[in-house]
Amino acid sequence: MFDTLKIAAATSLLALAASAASAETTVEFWHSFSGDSGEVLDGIVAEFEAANPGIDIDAQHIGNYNDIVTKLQAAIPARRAPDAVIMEVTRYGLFADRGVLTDLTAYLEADPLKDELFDFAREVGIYQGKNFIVPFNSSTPVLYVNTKIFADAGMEEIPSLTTFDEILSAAQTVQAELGEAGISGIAAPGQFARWGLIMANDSDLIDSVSGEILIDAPNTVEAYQWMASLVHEHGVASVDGVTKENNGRDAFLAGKVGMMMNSTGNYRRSKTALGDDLLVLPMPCNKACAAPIGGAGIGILSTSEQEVKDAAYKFISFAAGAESNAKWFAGTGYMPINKNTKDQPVAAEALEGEPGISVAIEQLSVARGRPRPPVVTWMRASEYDKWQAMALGQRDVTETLSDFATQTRAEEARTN
Amino acid sequence: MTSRLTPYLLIAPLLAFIAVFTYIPILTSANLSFREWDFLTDAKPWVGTENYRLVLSSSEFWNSVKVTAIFALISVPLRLVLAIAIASYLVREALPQRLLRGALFLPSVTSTVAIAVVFSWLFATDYGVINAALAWFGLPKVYWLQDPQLALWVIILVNTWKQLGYDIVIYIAGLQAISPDLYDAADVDGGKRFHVFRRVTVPLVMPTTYFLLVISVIEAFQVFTVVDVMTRGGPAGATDMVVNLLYRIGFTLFDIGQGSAIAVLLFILLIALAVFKARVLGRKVHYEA
Amino acid sequence: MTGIALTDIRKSYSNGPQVLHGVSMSIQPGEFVVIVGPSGCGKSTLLRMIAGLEACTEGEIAIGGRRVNEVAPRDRDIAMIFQNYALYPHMTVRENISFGLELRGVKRAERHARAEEVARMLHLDPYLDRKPGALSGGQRQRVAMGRAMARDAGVFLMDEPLSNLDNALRVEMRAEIKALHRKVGATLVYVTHDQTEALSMADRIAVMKDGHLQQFDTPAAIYDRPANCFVAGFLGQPPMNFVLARDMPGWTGGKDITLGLRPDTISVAPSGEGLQGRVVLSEMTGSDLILHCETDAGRLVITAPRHRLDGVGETVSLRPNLTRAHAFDTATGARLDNPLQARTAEPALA
Repeated sequence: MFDTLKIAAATSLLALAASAASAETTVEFWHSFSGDSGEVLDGIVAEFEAANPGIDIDAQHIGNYNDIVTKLQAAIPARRAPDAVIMEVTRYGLFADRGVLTDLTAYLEADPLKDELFDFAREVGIYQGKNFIVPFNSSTPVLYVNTKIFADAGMEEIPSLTTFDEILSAAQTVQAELGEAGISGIAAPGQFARWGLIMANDSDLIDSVSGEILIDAPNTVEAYQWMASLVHEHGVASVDGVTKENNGRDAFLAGKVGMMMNSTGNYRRSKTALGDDLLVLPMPCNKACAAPIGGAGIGILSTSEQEVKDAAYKFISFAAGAESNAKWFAGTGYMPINKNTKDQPVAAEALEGEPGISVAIEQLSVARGRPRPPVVTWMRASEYDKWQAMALGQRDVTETLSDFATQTRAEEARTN
Repeated sequence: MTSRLTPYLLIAPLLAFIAVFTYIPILTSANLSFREWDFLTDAKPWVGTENYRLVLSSSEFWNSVKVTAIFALISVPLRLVLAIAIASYLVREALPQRLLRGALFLPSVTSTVAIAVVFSWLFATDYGVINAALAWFGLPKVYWLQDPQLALWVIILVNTWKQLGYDIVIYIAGLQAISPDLYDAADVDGGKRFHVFRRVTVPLVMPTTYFLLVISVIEAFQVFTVVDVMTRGGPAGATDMVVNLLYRIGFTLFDIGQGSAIAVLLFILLIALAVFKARVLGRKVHYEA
Repeated sequence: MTGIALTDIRKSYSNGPQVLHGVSMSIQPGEFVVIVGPSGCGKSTLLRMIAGLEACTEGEIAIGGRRVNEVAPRDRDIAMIFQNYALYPHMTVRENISFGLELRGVKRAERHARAEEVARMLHLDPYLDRKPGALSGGQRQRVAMGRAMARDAGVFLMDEPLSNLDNALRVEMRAEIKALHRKVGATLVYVTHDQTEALSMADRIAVMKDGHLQQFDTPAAIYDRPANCFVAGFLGQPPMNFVLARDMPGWTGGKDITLGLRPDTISVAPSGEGLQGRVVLSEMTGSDLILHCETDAGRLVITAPRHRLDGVGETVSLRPNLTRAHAFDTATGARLDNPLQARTAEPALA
């Protein structure tokens, strides 16, 4: 009896001690990285915790960007929001606008990181003059080519793939030569690539500076006409990639597609899948050379305690630092956001061995941020259906975009 | 005094459970349908019937009602007819029947998302097994998920495949409750199989049929996951069900007021359908077997 | 008129026991045959085989001179009544009665006319539009009979049709079935476990036990000359007493003989000569008492007029009428000639 009591007492003392040890600051962090990139992130978190014994980063994989937004919506009214969260660069504006995110301007001003970040990386986090997120994973779309498919189609020498016509013609060659064997010329562009192609046609969906809605601008319409024609007119892109955007990427990774335009975030897995057959080229420059900056940054919820916010910012700063960024860049193919990243041995080594990775970095000179007012969230969610209707030839492009522009303007008036 | 309270105390836990997970959400949703809210702000201004006006005047909403109604009108009878036919065969207690029962029930306990993902690959136009099989027979490829007419049929097929096992199991239980003497009597009296099925089996499993009808209509009007994974309502709204629209408006377009208004309208519609079914069919159901 | 011939019928289930071991029976056209036996004797199985609801493992079934082993139930010219009546609960009495005709494609007007005619015969005409749920047990039973009668079949098969009724109704229905049989004139095979029904209704009784036919004869013959101990003990109420012959005072016959004494062949007196017994149980049936007595020869059940005895605990003197006893081989149970009966040549009376 007495022994039992002694054990019970000892156990509860131990439990007390354990809870005292965990009375450090815990930062709940929601992110979207799983698989290989998830492991790299876990490594960065572990190093941060080792360097900051008082801080515990509770990193949770929630799903993709949309899943995070959805879960956040449910968590905020329930007062169960996390402390830090990965937010896609065009969709944090709504959350900043509604006061959900903490203004990080003061933190960044006081942080030497401010001068280490590339200009584009600084810029994507700013909404209405204030800094709300610090980029973590940045990307642009690039043009991936399967050189083996090109060679099989008689293009040993990769032709110039700069204009829309050149890309279409190469895709048609692949389709004509290998279509019988179940290989298609190009993957139907996903939303990020579509935006890139609109920029390459010297236009935009919403002007990132003035906020003007450009959905029905002639160059935008022309870009959509060309993209839709790849599917329903020329038949060089599979419809499967229209109804399910990841299908196009998966088919490219499986060696069934000649080209794909997709985020640099797919570099690592493309390289793994295709090896030396993978060629990475810049996005086309049809009327202009421009590419959107995508990816996400980390923001801090305004509901968190000050002490937790401080700890969360420490982690954000660490994750964007040259050392972490070099590991992230080398491990995933997302672009460097820190000027010093390339000097890190691990990054230098990656650049050396992987010429493809530098394409994205070179493209940064023409990369630009995208608009992020609240209406962008609505517009992006609505664009998929419009694209489907156009790409499948179910609706006329001009008419569809004219309707879409009208709806977007109405929504902007309602929400902004 | 105590004895008068006892029954209420006994049902209290269940009542509390239902209240927390059913009544309170219904009431909350009804309240939100008269407000404007985007989840993020604390303010939820009262906007009266504005959300209902917007919903009822949007072509998207009426399209989704139409699509869902077509879906229900096709998939509910399809499910019931297939289920009773298959159950009539599987009702016997022999080994092949037992194995088949298990096999047919498996989809019901499998994740809908997993099923939908697998089927969206099977039905992929250029990369799908089904079109590959058609090609092998020299047939042209079919745009299963891109053709607005076909896409709805694919959704119906996948949903039926997923739900059928449950319907079959319920029907087997219903069929087993019918006295075998009735079939012996019909056998002796000279029944052709289909005639006996129509005049004896069908009326006597009416309680089961009615039960399945009620729940499968509700299920049909609440279908979501298969559509969300396979078509997200596309192409061009051809498979856009009410709940998918509700989800899109509420959770991706951040308009919880309109989303709630749709939820309330769906709730009213389902209640109306249930009352209608009870009026028209409920009386004809013969419960004594 | 349709006779039934069963030749060496055997039935066994795969992975199961054999339930019929070679039953042969020839049922005359228009005959009322009751198959009786304890539960599990195979009587219901035999009936279902005649109906075609169960297949024959071996042997031949002929109905109306035609081999029907491979003929579907509906083509065997039979109508059947089930123990629980097998009425269709969702149909009215009219529909139930005419359903067999509907299944055979008879026109609506014609089959309804037939249903009404049958219902009149069975006094069911006030209930034609009711469903079985709204009928009493006896009425349901009548509907089941009506359904069979509407069919005009050559053979009626009845599987314990009265066992769900209370006693008074059962007695009434027995008479009714018998009367109907006379009116319709069809061959009737009736299965029951109740020996009273068998004795009171049958032209001939088939007694079965463990899948074997024990005896197939008229009720009088079966009662008076039971083929073996089982038949002797199964028919007759209260059942026959069995004693070893050598325990009987005054027995002069052989040794390994068991005597069967019906309770009414033992006379009882308050005292005197004979077997001394002590009354352990006394049941009144009305005019008679049934006395259970412990004797040196074992327990004996006798019937005696009332008022002659006081009852339980009393010692009485029993005098069995050995000339009216049935003699059986103790080892096999088979019937033997009673030596005393042969000498006195007393006629056996039922």
